[in-house]
Amino acid sequence: MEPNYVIQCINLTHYYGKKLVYENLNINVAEGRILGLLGKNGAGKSTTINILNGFLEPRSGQCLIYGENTQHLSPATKRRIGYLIEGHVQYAFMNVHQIEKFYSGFYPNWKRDAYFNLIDKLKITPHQKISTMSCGQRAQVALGLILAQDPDLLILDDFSLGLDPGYRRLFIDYMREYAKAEGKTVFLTSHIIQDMERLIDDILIMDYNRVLVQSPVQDFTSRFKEFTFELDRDDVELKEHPLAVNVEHLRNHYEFYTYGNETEVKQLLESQGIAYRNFKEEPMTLEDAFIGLTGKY
Amino acid sequence: MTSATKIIRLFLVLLGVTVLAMTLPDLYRKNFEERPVKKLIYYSEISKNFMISEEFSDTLTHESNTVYYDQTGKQYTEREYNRQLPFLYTRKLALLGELPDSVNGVKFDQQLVKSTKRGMLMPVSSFNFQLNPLFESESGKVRPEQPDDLFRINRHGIEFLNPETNRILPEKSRLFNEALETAGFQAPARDIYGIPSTLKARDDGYFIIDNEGELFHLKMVKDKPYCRHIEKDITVSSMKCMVPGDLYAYIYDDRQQLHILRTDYSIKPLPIRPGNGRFVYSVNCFYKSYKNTDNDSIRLYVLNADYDLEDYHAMENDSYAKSSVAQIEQYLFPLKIMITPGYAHLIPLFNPPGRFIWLNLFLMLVLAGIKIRHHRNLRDPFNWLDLAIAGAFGIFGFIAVLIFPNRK
Amino acid sequence: MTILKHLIYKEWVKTRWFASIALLLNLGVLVYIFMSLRSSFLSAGGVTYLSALLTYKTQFFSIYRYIPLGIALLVGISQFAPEITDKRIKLALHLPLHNLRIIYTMVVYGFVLLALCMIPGILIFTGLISIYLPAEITLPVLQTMLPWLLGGFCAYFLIAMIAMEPVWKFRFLYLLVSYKVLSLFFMHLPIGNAVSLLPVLCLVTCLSSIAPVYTSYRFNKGQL
Repeated sequence: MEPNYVIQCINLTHYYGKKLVYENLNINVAEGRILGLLGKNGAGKSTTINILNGFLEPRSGQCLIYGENTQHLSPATKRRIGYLIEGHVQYAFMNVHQIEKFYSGFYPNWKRDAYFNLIDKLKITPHQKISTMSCGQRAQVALGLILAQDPDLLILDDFSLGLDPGYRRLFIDYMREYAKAEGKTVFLTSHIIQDMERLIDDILIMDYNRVLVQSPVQDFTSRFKEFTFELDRDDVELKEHPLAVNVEHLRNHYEFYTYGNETEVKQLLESQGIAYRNFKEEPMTLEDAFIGLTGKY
Repeated sequence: MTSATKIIRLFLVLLGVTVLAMTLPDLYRKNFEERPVKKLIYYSEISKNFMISEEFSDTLTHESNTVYYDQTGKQYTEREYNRQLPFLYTRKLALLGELPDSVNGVKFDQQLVKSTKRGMLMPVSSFNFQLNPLFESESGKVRPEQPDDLFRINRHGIEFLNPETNRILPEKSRLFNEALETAGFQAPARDIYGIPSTLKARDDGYFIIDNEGELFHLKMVKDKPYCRHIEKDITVSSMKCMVPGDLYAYIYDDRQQLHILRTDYSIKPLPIRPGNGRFVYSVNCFYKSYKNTDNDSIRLYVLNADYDLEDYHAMENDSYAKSSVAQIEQYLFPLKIMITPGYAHLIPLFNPPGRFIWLNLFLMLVLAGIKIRHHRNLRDPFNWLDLAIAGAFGIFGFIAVLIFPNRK
Repeated sequence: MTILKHLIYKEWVKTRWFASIALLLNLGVLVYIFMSLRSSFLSAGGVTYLSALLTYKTQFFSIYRYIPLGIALLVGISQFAPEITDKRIKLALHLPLHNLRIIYTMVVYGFVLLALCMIPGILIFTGLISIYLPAEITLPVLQTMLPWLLGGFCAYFLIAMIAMEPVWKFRFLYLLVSYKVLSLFFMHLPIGNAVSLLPVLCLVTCLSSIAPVYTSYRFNKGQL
C-alpha cells in the first residue's frame, strides 16, 4: 500500500445472495482528498460504506483504512474515523447536552466549542430530546459531533438525506472548509449530485455490477462531453459504436455522450452516411454528466 | 467465529437440544395420541370377583360405550355391575333402593360405608416443612386441639417454638430432649412424617428419621414426651402417615417396596410387586386393595385384614406406550426430557437406539448436504461436531444446529 | 475508566425512569405481600396461621412470581430497543473500543441494575417476614422465589442476545427458544420442591449470560 492512501479497497467482490453487487472493485482515497461515491439506488453504495465500517464482510477482497483491515479495526483507528449514518441517525433519547457529554469521553481531542458553535444556532430548548427535532436540526447535531470529534477520516453516508436546501448548503460549506483547512480525508455518498459538485475532489461512479468512472472530478467533467444534433430519421442506432458511452434520443433529437471530441463524433456520423444538423456541444453539470453516463431511469 | 464464540455456540446448541427434547415429544403426543380405552378394575366384597369396566369412546362422534365383566369373562349389565360394588356406588344404589342389607354378615350401614378409605400412594420424595405442631395425643376430645407452639429437631435437638414471639420454650424443649436422648435419638432429624392438621379423629404424633437413619415415634401424652425407637431392617425412603386406623403409616423403602407400619410397631412388607410404586388404595374392614397401573398392565392386589395376599388379578393396559403412535415416537425422537414430581429434576428417558438411529443418520446426511451447499469449511472440527450432534440427538440436534448456525 | 463512565452514562440516561419504575414495582409488591402476611398472622393468631401454612403449604408470596420477569423486560427493552431501532447499534460499534467490550459493558450494566432493583427488596422482604415466620418457613419461601429471580436475570440476558441478532427470522426463533427456557424458571411447583432444580437453573442463567457473544459476532461478520 502506498503510504498516503487512507482508504484502499482491493478486488472487492460482493453478492447479495446470488445477485452480484460488484466484482473486483478497487478504490483508493489519498490523504486530504474528498471522494464522492455516486450511483443509482441498488448500485452498491451502502454496501461499500458497510464494508468500510466493518459491518459487512465482502465475499472476497478487502478494504484497508490506515493500513488496517476494516473487519478488525483497532480502537485507535476507530478514534480517527468520523461516521455519519444515513438519515443522521443518533441516540434520539438524549438531548444535545447529554449526547455531547457522552461522546466527549471517547475522543481525547474533543473540541467542545466546535460542537456548541453549531448547536447554539439551533432553535431548541436545552432539554429537548433529539427525537423531537426536525431532520435538519438532527443533521446539525450530527455535524457538530463530527466536528467536535475532529477525525482524520470522515465517512458520510448520504449526508443530504431528508435535508432542505438551506441545511444542505450549510453542511456542504462547513464540510468543505473544515476538510480543506484541516487536511481531512472524506469519503461520502449522496443522491443529490449538485451538492457533490460543490464538495468533492474525486468521483467514483458505480452502476450495476461495475465502476464507470474513478477519477478527479475535473478530469471527468473535462473529458466527458455531450453533443446534441438532429437527424432526419429517429431510428438510427448509434449506441453500439465504441465512441458512444450513451445515446439518448427523443424523436429525431439526439444526445450523444462520449469521451471523444467533436471531430471524432462528426466523423462517425459522416462515415455512416448520416446527415445531421444543429450539431453542438452542450455544457454539462455533474448531474447532467451522471445521467448521461448511467442513463435515465 | 473465534474458538471461544464457537464453544459458546455449542453450549447454545445443547441448550436448544434440551428445550426441543422437552417440547417436541410432548407436542407430538398431544397432537397424535388416540384416546385409550378406559379400563377400571375393582374387587367385589360381595362376590369376591374382580369387576372390570371398559369404556370405548369415539373421538369423532363423542359417543361412548361401556362393557362390564369379571375376571372369568362373564358379562354384566351396568346395574348388575353396580350392585357388586356397594361401597363404590353407595349413592347410586341408594337412589335405586338396591343397597344390600349386609355384606359378609355385617350390617351395611352408614358407619360401614364411612369406614372405607381411599387414597393414593406415591414414592415421591418432596419437600416437607421441618416445623410441626405436636398435638396432645390423649386429650379426650373429639379432635386434637391446636397447640400454642411448634417443634423442630435441629442439631441442638428438639426445640419448641412460640410462633407469636419466635422464641424457644426452654423447659418443654429440655424435657423432650431428654426423652429423645433416652430413646437413642441422634439429632438432627432427617425427615419428619405426620399429619400436622387438627382434622383427624386421633393424633398419632410423628415418625422421625434421625441423623443415623433410625426411625422413632414421637408423641405428647398428657403433656409428657413419648419417644420410642422402632426396630427395622429396611432403609426408609418416604412415609405416608394414615388417618388413625389399624396402621400408623405406609413406608417406601429404598427399592420402592411398600411396607406397613402397624400400631404394634411391626413393619411388614406388603405382598405387592413395587412396579412404578404408584398405588390407588381402597381399604375397609374386609379387604385392602391396591391398584398399580403402568404402561403394560393394571394390577389389583387384594389383601385380607392381616395384610396377606387374598387375591390378585392383572390385565393388559392399553396405555399410550403400547399404541402405534408411541411406537412411531420411538423412531422419531432419541429421547424425551421430563420433570419429576416432588423435588423437581429433569430426567432424560431414552428410546431404543435401534429405532431412531435411521432417522438420525438420515438427518446427519441432510445436514452434511446443507453444509456443503453453503460452502462450509469441512476441515473445521466444529462442523464435524455439528454432524455428530445431529447423529446423536437426531431431530433435536438437527434443528438446534440450524437455529444456532455456525456463522461464517 | 473514563470511557467506561461515559458508556454507563448513556445506559443510565436510557434506563433511569424504567429502572425506577422497576425498583418501585419490586418493593411495592414485596411490601404488599408482607403486609398481607402480617394482617393474616395477627388476625388468625400465630399458631393457627402457621399451622395452616404448614399443612396446606400456601404460597402466600405467589403474586411475586412474574415480577422479576417484568423487571427484566423493563430494563432490557429500555436498554436495547433504542440501540436496535434504525440500526443504531452501528453507533455503539463505531465507538473507539473493542466491540465485545462495548456490548458487554452494556450487558454488565443491565445485570447490575437488575440486581439493584431486585436484591435489596428481597433482603428487606426476608428481614420483614422473619419477624413472623421462623427460618424453617422463610428458607423454603426464598428457595421457591429464587428460580423466579434467576429467571429475571436469564430473561435479561436473552433479551440482550435477541437484540444483538440482526436477522428477524433468527430473532423470532430465539424468542421461541427463550420462551421455553424461561418456562423452566416459572413452573408452578409446590413450596420447597424447586430447590433440586436450582443447579440446572444456575447453569442455564450462566450460559445465557454469554449468549450475546454469539449473536453480537454477527455485527462483525454478517449483515446489518
